[in-house]
Amino acid sequence: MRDPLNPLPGEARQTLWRHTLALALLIFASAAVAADTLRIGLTPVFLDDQVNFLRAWRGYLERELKRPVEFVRRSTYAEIVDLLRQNKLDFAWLCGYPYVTHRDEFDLLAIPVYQGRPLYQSYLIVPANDDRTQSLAGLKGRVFAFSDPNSNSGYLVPQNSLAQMDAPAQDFFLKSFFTGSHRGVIEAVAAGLADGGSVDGYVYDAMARLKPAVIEQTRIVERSPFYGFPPFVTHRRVRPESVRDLRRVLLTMSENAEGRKLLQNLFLDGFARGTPRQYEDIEHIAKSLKRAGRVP
Amino acid sequence: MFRDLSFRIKIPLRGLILMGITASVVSAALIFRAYADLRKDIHQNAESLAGVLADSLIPEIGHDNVWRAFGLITAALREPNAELGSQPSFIVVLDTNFRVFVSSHPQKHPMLADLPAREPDFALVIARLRETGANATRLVEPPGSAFFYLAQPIVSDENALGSLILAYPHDMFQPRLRRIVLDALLITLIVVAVMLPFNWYWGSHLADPLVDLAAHMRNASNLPDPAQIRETDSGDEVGQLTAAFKRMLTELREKQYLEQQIVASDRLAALGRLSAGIAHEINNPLGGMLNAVSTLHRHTDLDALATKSLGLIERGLNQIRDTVGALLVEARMTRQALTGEDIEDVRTLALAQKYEHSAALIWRNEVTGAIDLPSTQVRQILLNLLLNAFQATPAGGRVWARVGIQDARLCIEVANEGAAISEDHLPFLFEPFATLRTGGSGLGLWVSYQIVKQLNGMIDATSEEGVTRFRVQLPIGNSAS
Repeated sequence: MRDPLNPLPGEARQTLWRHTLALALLIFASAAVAADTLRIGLTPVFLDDQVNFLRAWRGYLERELKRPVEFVRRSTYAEIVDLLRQNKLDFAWLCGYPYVTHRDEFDLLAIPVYQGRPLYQSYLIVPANDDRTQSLAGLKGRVFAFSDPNSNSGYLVPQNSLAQMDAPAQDFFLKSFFTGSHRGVIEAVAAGLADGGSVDGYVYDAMARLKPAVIEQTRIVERSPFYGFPPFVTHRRVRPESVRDLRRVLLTMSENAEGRKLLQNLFLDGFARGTPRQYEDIEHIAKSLKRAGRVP
Repeated sequence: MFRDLSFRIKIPLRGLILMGITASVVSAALIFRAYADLRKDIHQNAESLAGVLADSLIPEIGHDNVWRAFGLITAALREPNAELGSQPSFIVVLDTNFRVFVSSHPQKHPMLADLPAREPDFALVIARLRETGANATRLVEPPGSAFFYLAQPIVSDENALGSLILAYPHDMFQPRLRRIVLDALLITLIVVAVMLPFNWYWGSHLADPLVDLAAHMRNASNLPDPAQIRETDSGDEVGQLTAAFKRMLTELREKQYLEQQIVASDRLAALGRLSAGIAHEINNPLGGMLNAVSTLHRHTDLDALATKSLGLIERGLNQIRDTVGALLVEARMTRQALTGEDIEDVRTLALAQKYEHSAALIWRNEVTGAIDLPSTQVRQILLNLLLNAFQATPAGGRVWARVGIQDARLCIEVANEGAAISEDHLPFLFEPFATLRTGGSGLGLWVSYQIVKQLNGMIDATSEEGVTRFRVQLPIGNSAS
């Protein structure tokens, strides 16, 4: 009987070729597929628990692009920024602040349009039962909640307010902490864990519609000036065709029924092309605060 | 007052009290055990929760990650532990300076607040936490507090990072305990209710013979018939009591009967002495009168009238003498011993009466030879009894007579069919003139009685079921003088 472990020499070589070929094809195919997939990173700008919506959005994008799409979610801006820079992501929905600090590497893909404009505000909020605090100054010596150290509305804006008050960056509050998300800031303030917090107005407005019970336990003290809405960005090295294709799909989302439905879920009107100039304010603030050593 | 209650009540009552005490004690012990177990369960649950939480909190405290720590402890509170209802009321994490790092209820325990100033309980908890030594959980129960606390140091690689405090409501056992107590109460009541009829039944079972016995004893002065007393077939004390009581009653009745016999005997003896005395008083002048009459009679010169009158007087006096003589029974000891023929003679004499009354005589005479007893007197007794029997029996009735010797005694038995002599009459049967019928002197049994007594014998009469029986027993060779 033939010993399968020791085939006859001629047969052995044929088998080896066959296996190698199959393996090579497999690697090539997965590489090709991988190369084809558009990887989009999502940050805590996005309300984290809308899994069904993401599936629907992904389906829409795949149909429009005729390419596989993958959404990647992480809990901090920094992780998404790192993944984008390491070529593990092609696109990301970031905040204006990390975009401007990486202007040399990131390009604008599209800017969401919210309430008719590609702008948004930062809200300073306190617990609803606090009816005395009128401004950030009233939170001196108390507990403050930021969202993410890379967030404009959730960190940079209040730091800027402190700078304008000439208040110290570190010791103004009794204690401050990061919740990692805008929703977290709202919940922390609602629970009374923080005496005040700074949060993305778009997220706050969205939560008012999705979870009004939590919003009702907070109160908006101040609204900041308008800043450029958190943009979709891409890395310089991403292939221009991919950039063009995705940009086109995003910009045309408001032109068809399915896209509009998806936009409704996001409480957005649509996407606009956008220019870096819309983020000059943020860039200016970031640079001056950095120079003053108030932010890293 | 309790001591005077009937056993019918006392025994079941005591049973009930014992049952109640037993049930209460057992229930209390079980409830106590259940309470202890409940506490232990809850403490163990709390300890394991504290352990898990403390471990999870290590990285968050280390990185000053207040928000994540807050998420952890609020998640622990959301955990539905419905089975025991043993969720903490609130959770507080302290930093290494024992100030609030984060609390599940930030409004009550703001960050970096000084807790003991806000809530005195925490002074005790923090004091216990400060105790160096073990890293184990400490159970702190401030007196009078609404909570009890589980305090656990958060330690990583032997570095103290902070402390974890779980607060539980002090009355968290209450609902469970209440349920346990109610269950125990319900079961106890059901068991007692089921046992009650048994208790009552057994109690009555024990008490009834005693109650009956007591009733009989109350009646004892009337000396009721012992056969009426129902004897229990148990060998216990109650059974023994009942048997002894019956024996006592029997003996009392016998004693009463004997006393009655003695009284009757005494009466008869007294009567005998009285009649003897009277007879002697009469006899003495009587003898003189008869002599005088006899003297007169012997002398002639009496006219017809005188002779007739004398004869009249003489007959009258003789009659008196006979009558008195009958009263005065003297057992003149004749030397003649009694033989079987004497007895047959009496039968012959009696037979005449039998034909008059058309009664049947069943005769048995076992006496042969001579017996040391005065024959005249014995014949007199036997004849008297037979004649009485024939008189008393109805037409066509039967009379039995048996004479024999037993244990050195002459036994005479005479029985007749006929109307029974009532119990009231029996004791007075042997008294003079006690006869129930017309005709006859009424002295027959009286005389027989006297003779029997003088011979140191015994005579009695019984009457039952249509048969009247007389029995005479005379000791042989033992006659009085």
